[in-house]
Amino acid sequence: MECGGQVSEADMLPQRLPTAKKKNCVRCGKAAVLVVQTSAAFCRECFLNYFTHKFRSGLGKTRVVQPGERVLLAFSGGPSSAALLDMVKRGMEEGTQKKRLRIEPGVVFIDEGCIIQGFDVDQRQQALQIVSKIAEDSGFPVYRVMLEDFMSEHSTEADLPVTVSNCAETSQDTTEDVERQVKTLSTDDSSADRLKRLFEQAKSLTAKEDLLQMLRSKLLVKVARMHGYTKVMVGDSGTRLSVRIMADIAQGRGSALPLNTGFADDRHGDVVIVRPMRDFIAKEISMYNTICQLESVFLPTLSTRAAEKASIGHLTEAFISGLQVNFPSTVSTVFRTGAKLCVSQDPENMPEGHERCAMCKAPLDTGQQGPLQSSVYKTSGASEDDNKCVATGPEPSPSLCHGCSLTVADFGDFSALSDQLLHD
Amino acid sequence: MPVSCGLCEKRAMLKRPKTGGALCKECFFKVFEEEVHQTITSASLFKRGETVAIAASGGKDSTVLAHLMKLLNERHNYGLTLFLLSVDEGITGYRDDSLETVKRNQQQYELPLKVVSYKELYGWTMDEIVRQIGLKNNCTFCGVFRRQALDRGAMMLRVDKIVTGHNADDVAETVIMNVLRGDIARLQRCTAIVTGTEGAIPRCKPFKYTYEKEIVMYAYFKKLDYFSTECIYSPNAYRGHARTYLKDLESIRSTSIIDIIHSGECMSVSVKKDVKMPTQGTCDRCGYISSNELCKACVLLEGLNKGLPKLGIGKPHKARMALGLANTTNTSTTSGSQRKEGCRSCSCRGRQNAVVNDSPECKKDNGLSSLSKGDGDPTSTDSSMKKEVGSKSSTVGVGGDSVAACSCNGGVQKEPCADTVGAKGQSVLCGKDDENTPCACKKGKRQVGTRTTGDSRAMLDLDF
Repeated sequence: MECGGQVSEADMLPQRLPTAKKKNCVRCGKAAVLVVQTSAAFCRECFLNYFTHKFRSGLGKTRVVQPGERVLLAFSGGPSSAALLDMVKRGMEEGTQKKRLRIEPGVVFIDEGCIIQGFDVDQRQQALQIVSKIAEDSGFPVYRVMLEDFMSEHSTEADLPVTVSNCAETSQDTTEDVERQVKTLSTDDSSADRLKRLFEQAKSLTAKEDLLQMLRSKLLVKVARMHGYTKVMVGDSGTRLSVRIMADIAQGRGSALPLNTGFADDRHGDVVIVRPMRDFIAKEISMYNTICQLESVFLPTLSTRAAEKASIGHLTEAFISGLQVNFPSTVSTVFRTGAKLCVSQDPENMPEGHERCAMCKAPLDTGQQGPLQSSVYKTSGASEDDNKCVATGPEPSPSLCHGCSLTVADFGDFSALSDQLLHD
Repeated sequence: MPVSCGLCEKRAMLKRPKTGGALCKECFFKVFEEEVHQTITSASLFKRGETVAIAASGGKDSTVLAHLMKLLNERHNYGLTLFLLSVDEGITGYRDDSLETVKRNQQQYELPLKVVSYKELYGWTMDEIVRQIGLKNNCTFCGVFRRQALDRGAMMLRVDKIVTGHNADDVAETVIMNVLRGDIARLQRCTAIVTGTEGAIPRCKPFKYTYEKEIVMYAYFKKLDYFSTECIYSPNAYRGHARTYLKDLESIRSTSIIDIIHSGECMSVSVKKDVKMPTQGTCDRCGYISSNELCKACVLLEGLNKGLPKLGIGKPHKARMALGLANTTNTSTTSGSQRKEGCRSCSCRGRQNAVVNDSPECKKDNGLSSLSKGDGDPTSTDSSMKKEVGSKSSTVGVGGDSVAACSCNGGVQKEPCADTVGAKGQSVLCGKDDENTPCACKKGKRQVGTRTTGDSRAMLDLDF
């Protein structure tokens, strides 16, 4: 020993023999290729079966999606949505008459490029091309939308600059389309610029991410409405939703949790957002993608390469992912806790007249604020100077839920967006 | 240019953690005291003429609590009779010092003091307990015993209410913990400002919306006399993760703590109707509140007295519950030492003097395994422990009951877990980081469960 002490045989720690035995698939007994959720080893075929079965039973169990329905698939280019696309495609091809997934899908991709700063335009263009290719390979009609389209005044289908492409187009066309998309940025200055300026006003990354989340879902609903789709399927995985649960709790959005992270989000009325990938954790999805050799592309977002404590969402993701390493049931436990919640039916909590938050359309939770608000000592007469004492939190507007008022407080001038947001 | 106070024209002395505003010392005191007063009045915590016991440990929370209760009682004429109630766990080098602080508090605030000790109530001090069971899971014992001790002390004093110094950080941490642990039953209760049901003395948390940082600031600027050391037996525990997360959140957005409490309050009314919850009953032996036949304290005590320290530690088992609640902890342990081959996650593993029942299967993880520092058990990872938690929560109703952890054990028992929100005594008396690994109850108490112990595996965990 380096310290000069004597090491006897007895002192040596017992060597642990490596477990040489190979695991067998728990279903069929053949050699296993991967392990799911720390316990079950599967071979390739059984895993595919397990995965597909989980997806279809998740959809079928809730009976949210009816046969023949027009469903819009939100494709972000990432592994979860790539898996979603693939499963829907296969679900429509395989199976018996009764079991086949009978829906009329379309694919929508939102280009959020205008608010992401600091990333190489060429790289982004390349990535966009791959996204288009994957989307079109599915054979469904593809709608490409820019995030700033939310800002524009378009109200009819004709005006909304959505490029529609389907499988008939060649890849040549798609490249041009994408280039045209990127170029339209410069011609359609007003919307993109306004959006960019709005986002730059935000004092915190947390508020930016929150707003982006909201814009995204509203835009999805808008596109769906415009083209006659009644459902939107998003590829949020269980991991992503667990992170969302914790982050929402941290931002005071506990009352909207069942809507934000549940299977079906029906707050927008006619269009329902569905999350069929919620039963899968990110690891399973990437295993599936590897086995099926699905292509996916990473597009940078607001918090990419940001410091860990840059925003609440980013921190929460690091937190949950970190815990998941040592406690592999973290994600499923958090997820299950969220699943046990439902939208509060308690009429006492809802103030008179206002039922929904003007921004996020979730049920208002200001009824709960009684003791909370009284506890925050108000100092009136303080000067306007931000550096001076502001003893209170954000002034609760009567028509915004707690979480939204925090977000709004972080933006200086919200008027640019408020019309659109409050309209919908 | 010196910043001036937001409320008066004087020069600002500090920045308020809750809102970031700059205040002078006097205005800070005023704001702090006023907010606690608002909390008390808007939640109608007290009625005139009530007797109230202040759970005092000598730590910062309870010292400030005692100070404030006396101050507000006089200033706003609540009409309350106040007592100081302290619990002596018998931890040398820690509790005896903090008890001195409490005694000084008694003189400073001129409040009558009652000290209840574990030795009197249970016949065991924490030092003795730790000697028996080791450095792991001792927080379970301390917490369970303290809760009962507080209640019994309060009954001896014949008070109407207990106030504890749980602050906003504690409540937020508990919300996060309960979500992470999947404990929906506790999640419902933990944000309530008054806890305790019929039969038990209600406990209030006037500091529910008060930031810990502000309490420290108040104590510091008021030069209050408090004891600020962590309990010497507190190991690193799961709650530490929640705590770090909470502190990081606070650094990103200072209102996060209040936001979490707000979320918790909203969630407590939005639980689905068909979720299983534990039901409350009384302990057969001591009459204390329990959701099983025997309350947790009785189970733990029995384990201690019979030299089976792991009794009561660990996780419940589905099969056990299905078999029914049989209080056969000790009687059935001698019925043979078969351990299932290949069962590596239970206390029956590796036992020479296995006192184990024959069991059809033993899937339960030995709760300790998550703490064991790699004693060679491949399945005894936190993962399996956590997994069990998740998978059991819906059936067991983790919120309040416990079932025999391992089917190798004798009986099925259900006891209340260490505590719900009420036992602030925990963090105040024992330091914040005194948890073991995952437990559904507040303050990181060991996941409830009965488990016959006295196995060599338990010995393995005694790595001092």
